[in-house]
Amino acid sequence: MTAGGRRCLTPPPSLPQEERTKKTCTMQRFLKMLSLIGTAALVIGVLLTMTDIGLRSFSTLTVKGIVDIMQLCVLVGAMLAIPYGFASDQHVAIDLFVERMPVRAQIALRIFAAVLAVLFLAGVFWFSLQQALTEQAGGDRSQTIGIPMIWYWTPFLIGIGLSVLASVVVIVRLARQGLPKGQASKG
Amino acid sequence: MSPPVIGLIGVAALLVLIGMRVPVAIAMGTVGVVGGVIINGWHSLGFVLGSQPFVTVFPYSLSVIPLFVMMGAFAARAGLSASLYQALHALIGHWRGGLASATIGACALFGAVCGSSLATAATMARVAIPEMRALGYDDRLSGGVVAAGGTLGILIPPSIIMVIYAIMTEQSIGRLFLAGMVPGVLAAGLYMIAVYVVARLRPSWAPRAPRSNAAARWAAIVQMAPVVVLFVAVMGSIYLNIASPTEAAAVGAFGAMLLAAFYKRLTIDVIRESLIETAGTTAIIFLILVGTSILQFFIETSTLPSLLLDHINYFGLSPLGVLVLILIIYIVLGCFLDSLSMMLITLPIFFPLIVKLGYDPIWFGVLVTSVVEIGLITPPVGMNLFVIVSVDERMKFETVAAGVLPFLAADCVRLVLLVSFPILSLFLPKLLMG
Repeated sequence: MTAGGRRCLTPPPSLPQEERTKKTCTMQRFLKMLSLIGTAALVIGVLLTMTDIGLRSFSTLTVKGIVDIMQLCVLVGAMLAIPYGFASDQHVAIDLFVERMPVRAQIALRIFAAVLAVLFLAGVFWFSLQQALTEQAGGDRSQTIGIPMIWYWTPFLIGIGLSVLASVVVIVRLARQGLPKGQASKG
Repeated sequence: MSPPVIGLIGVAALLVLIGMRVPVAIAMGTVGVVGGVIINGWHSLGFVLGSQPFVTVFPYSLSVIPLFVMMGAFAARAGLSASLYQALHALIGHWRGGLASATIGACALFGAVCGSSLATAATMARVAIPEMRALGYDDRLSGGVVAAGGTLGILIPPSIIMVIYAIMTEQSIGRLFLAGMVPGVLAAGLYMIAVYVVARLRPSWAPRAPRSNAAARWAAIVQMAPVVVLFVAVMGSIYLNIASPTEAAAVGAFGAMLLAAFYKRLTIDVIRESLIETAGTTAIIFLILVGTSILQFFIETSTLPSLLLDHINYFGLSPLGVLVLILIIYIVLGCFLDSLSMMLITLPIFFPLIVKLGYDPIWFGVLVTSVVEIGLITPPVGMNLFVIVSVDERMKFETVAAGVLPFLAADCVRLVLLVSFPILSLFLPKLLMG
């Protein structure tokens, strides 16, 4: 299983080392920052929940709509982290059989996997966008405090949309530069 | 072609795609979409791709997952593992194989606030292996004990795998947590017995440590207090109806942050690393959940579970025979798949079967968690084995793989006990929740 490649992908050889590293890491840095911002929403959710428990325990007050807010925080936290997972090859995949293959076959299979990811995620994005627009037109809102449903759809769509882009970048890089450093030793 | 046959072909295609290194979530989603369209037509595409993924990640009940992940991430960096290990070292280190038993105990307690096997194994490896090596323990025993002890992280509640099982099968998280308590303690006890047997058979593998004095033992008990308090706060708040599982997870995450601050470990780096880990793990889990929900739709509409049930009736297999067969399939799959993927791929097929056969879903949840846990230490894809090797540069994969064998035997004994005596799992939930 793979999970947790925190390195940047191999930069193009035509650029000076420093510039190459800078260019190729920009996307991953951006997506990493985005995932950190998402997780900050989770921390806010934790703090609001603690506040709610505290208020409930010692008074008749509560944080109004904590369920709706928490759902939003979790959607922001989870969905904004998904693209970084694609960019840094963190999503769960089984290496066991592929790592014994020649490097070219490994590259071909990784490109195939990334193409499949693009097709699947693009499909999810397109149909979800239609659904989100339908719900927005219908004025759908959350149950307790009436947060517009589009607020929930937005991080979802951003996460899926950026995952498509991240997968496209992975395909281009695999095609141009081969396997990331440190992963081409076997086969 | 009939829908069940399409379902079977879909499952085969899924395994092929996973073998080709397609991310598990993408493989599940793709097979689910293609199979769903073949069975239900193009008009189902809008529902499968437009509604199902969002509906899967939207429910409030899912909030519990990132919060428990966050709790584990902060707990792993709060220095709790070192405190627990030192405390148990002082208490039982002088036993035969005492340091290894202390490692098991520390893993069990740490697992109770961490919820992740990989984090438990990685954290305890850094603390325990150097100490055991310094005392002359054989690397096979020290590597094996940490790899096996790490698995306690998903068996002893709160466990992220249990939470996901409960959400997927619409069972009570609190009830499942309670059901995992006795099997978790049983697992730790059997591991300690395995250590004792190894130490008896190979005394040179586990030299005795000197006995600590009374003051050191008292200090050890005090040292463990914060972890026990955090565990009691999380589990107690659920069972005393002070908080829902999601709120309890928030209490846990907040408590783990406070403990990190208490141990003066709450630096900017620790916060950043913990948040990145939380984000990464949450993203992995949520994407797999999206894939699973689409696959589940396909499997349900293919009526494959009903076909399996018909065949079981036709061949006259007893319910126990089916259960044993399912557990064997899990153990075999565990050699090749990671724990979460294995559980989520198989649940849409096995769970309806188990329910139709009249088994208790909570009991089955404990069994699934147990076999999934065994998969973490079975080569060649036993993730905990890789974790130990990556954390300790001197440890070889073969060494750890050999070292876990006595613990795998203990796991088999536990599994037989859990299957033979469902009351071991169901006693506590029935007693405390009716």
